[in-house]
Amino acid sequence: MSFGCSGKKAPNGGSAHKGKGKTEKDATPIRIINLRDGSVTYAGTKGEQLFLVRFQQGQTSIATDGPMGDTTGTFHDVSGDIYQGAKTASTFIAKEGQGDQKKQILTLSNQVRVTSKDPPAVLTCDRMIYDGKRKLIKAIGNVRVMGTWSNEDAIKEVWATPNLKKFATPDSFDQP
Amino acid sequence: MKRFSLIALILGSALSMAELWTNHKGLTFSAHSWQIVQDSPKLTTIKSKGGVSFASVSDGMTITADQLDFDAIPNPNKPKTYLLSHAVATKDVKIVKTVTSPQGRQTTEVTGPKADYLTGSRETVVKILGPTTIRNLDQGQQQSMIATGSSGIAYLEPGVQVSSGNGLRRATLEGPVRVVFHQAATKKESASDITATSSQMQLENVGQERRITLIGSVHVMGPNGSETTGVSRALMVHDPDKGWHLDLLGDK
Repeated sequence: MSFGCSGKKAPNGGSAHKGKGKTEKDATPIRIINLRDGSVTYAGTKGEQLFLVRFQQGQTSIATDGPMGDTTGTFHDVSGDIYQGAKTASTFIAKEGQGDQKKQILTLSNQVRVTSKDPPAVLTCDRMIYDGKRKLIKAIGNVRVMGTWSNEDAIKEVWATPNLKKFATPDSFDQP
Repeated sequence: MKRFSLIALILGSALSMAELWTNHKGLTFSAHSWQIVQDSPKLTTIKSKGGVSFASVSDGMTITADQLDFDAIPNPNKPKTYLLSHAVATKDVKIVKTVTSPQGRQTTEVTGPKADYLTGSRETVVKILGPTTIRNLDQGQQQSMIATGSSGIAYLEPGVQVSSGNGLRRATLEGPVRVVFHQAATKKESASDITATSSQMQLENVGQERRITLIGSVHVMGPNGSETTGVSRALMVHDPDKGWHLDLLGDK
């Protein structure tokens, strides 16, 4: 599992915390780093790039004595890329974003916009969860798709592949 | 209790609302569940089920069914829009095709339990598996036809306009077949009804002429109580200027 992070360290710097709900003995120290104007790349178990998050402000927490994979991040004013193989499948922007390295999940919320080039399509929604393991986008709340096919009225939930080549109602989505 | 039932009904209908999709107004469909796959710029594969309603503007055609799986391909004549290439409709299938000709508007309705719809460059072929009904309403000739059979094939005109003739080019029905023609009174013709039954029916619309070949155990009840029976093969021809003509062909 790999994790890459770059950015300016925020003035308040980073701090080490004890894991919540654990005893002093078995607690996992958590290091929280505040960041500005940076980017984080999340990768899968074989080192393949899953998604890249660029942010204006962010905070990552790393379990200092655990594997580097136990890294989560919370970011504001985000943009980034979702990868499929070596290629960028789609790009995104949102007001808020969260990345979980261990679960390989990217969560975007507030004015989410996902854009693909092939086929040319734009998906907007209130909240998006991208599962890097399943290569599956779950768009939730006021979902609209604009492309070769567009929906007339906002939809509650749409599942899609990262390149927006396939999208469906959750009950009809054929998982490869 | 009634109030709760009403609230549950409203909630239920809101939850199962069909969602409407459009391809730049070329093709539209709505369904409760669906999956759109854009395999390539040249092909979109769509699976839809639950109260499916489909329309193709360029074909003047609508399909309603419980389930509809179809392929859409780019329309070479209208950028960004797609055409229906192939479709398989299942359960409570109703396909309605409307064309206009200099004589007026014609509507063909094909219903059955399962239909295979294939668009060709020259005509569209609709195969119905199971009990089939073909209705054809010709406003220009003020004539209607209702034909039923155990299965059938309808060959439809492509597009929404025909220079002459009928949107329903040809049709074949397997028996037992029953066909009813109704001719409203016009300047040229008086009102008449013809009912025919047979084991098989072949219909062909050539220009303004309608030709129906009835095969096997033919029985025709014509206007004014005339009746023809015990014939193995008969040809009925309708000409707008001459009216109906029946040829008894016998065994072939």
